[in-house]
Amino acid sequence: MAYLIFGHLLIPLRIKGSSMEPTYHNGGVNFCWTLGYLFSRPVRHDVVLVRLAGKRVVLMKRVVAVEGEGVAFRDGKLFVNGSMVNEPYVRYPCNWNLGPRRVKNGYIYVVGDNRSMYMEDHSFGQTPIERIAGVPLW
Amino acid sequence: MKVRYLIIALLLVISGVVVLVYVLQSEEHKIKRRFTSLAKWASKEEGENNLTMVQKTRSIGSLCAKTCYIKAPGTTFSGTYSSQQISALAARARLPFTSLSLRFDDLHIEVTGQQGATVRVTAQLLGTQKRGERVDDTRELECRLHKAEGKWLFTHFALIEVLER
Repeated sequence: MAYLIFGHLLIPLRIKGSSMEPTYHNGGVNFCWTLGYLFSRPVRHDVVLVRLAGKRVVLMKRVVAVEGEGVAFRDGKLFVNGSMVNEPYVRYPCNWNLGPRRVKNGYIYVVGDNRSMYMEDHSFGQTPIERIAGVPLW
Repeated sequence: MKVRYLIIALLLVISGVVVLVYVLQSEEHKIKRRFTSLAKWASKEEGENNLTMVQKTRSIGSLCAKTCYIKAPGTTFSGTYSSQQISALAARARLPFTSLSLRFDDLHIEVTGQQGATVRVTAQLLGTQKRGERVDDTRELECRLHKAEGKWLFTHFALIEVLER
C-alpha cells in the first residue's frame, strides 16, 4: 500500500534550485500528486511538475499560457495574446525580453517564478501536456 | 531428515545464485553498467592530477564506438566524433571545472534486436568551475548503443529539448 501511494500517487520530492523562489524554496520538501489532472487540464498560474526521462527527477514550473495562446516578455512583464498578465507570485525584479511565440496544440508554456536571473540561465518554454507528472501537494 | 533439509537449502542457494548471475548478465544490466562507468569517469575531484585526467578521459572514449554522433542544439558540441575525439572533447569539457559529478536517473532501456539499444535517461551535472561559479544542470538525453564483440558502446547522444523556448 505504501509503495502504491508513495511510489505512484504521492511521490515525495525534495526541491533543488531556486527557479521557483520565493514560492518554493531550495531544499524544501513536497509531494507530486500524480492525479492532479485526472479530470482537468492545466490552466494559467498552475504550478506543475514536468517530467524528464522519468518521475524521479522533475522540473517545477508555473503555467503562464496554454495551447493556442501567444506568449511574450517585454521589460520583464508577461504578455499573453498581447495583454499584460498580472503575476503576483513574481516578487523579484525582472528585465526579460522575449519576442512573441505561439503555444502549440497539446502544449503548455511554463516558466519559473524567479525571474531575477538572466533569461539565458533560466529553463522555461513550452512542453507537451503529456510531460506533466503532476502538481505539488502544497 | 537433516540431510534432506540441507539438500533443499543447497538447491535454494544454487537457484538464487543462478538467478543473480542471470540478472547481472542481462543486457539491460550491462547497459546500466556503461552509464555507471560514464558517470564515474566524467566525475572530477578537486586536485585531480593530469594522470587521472588522462585515464578518465581515455576511459570515456573507450565507452564509445568508432564513430559517435552528438546532437546538442545550442552548443558547439554537435557533430560526429571518433572515440579519440570523444576523449579530447571530454578533457576539454572537464577542464573549466575544479570538481564535477554526473548522475544518471530514470534509465529507460529498450533493447532492439541483438545488437542495438536506445536509452532515455535524465542526466544531472553538478560542478564548481575554476572561477567559483556553481553549475547545476539537469537534462534529458536519448542515447543509442551498439553491441560489438560483447561490449555495449555508445554511438549516439542527443539532448532532448524538454522546454522549447
